[in-house]
Amino acid sequence: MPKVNLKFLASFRELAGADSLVAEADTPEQALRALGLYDAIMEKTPLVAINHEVTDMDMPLKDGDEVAFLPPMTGG
Amino acid sequence: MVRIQTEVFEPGQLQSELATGGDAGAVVTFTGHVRDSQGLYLEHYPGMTEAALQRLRDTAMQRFSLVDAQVVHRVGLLQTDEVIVWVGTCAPHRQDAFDGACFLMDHLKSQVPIWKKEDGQWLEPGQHELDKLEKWS
Repeated sequence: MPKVNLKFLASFRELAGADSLVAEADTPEQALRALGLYDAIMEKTPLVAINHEVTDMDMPLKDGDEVAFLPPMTGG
Repeated sequence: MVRIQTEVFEPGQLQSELATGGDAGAVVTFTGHVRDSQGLYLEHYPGMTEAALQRLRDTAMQRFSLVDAQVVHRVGLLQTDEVIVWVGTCAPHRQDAFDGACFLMDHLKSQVPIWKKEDGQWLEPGQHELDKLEKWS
């Protein structure tokens, strides 16, 4: 399985207990499920981004991807 | 120009840097301050946030035929009355300048990777913020 860097932003960092983690996973969903975080994050209507591009939870990952989980945004 | 920064900035200075002149007869600016707060923390996702802001600016420039558009957004810990965000637009006619500034602010509220934490709680976008997006769709 590809080795990827997971990033957890804002409230998701507190859910995950870490700002970043290295994981082996085929998809973002698989990475979250392996950490036991999938349900907790999905109920917050997240976005997932791979290398800064918004994508889907079932997008295939490649070695070295940065996979970020973003809670709903509140700028301005 | 779009910028994310921790440093305080001076809105008047930013307005003077807008590319006015020539065909640009209308300038609109918006400055957002922290309302009464025990401390507002703002976080962004370096790299992705700047790219999203740049795309948003490009969209506004094209959609409203703007001559210039600039956005500066602060992150970090801010106190009551500090400036959070500044948007400036400039266009040949006032309605485009107003609409461009509103479009940028309405999207900043829920479509750019920036998050606010206040009094120990991460904020969530209000329904009224999401409703405002509909008029631009």
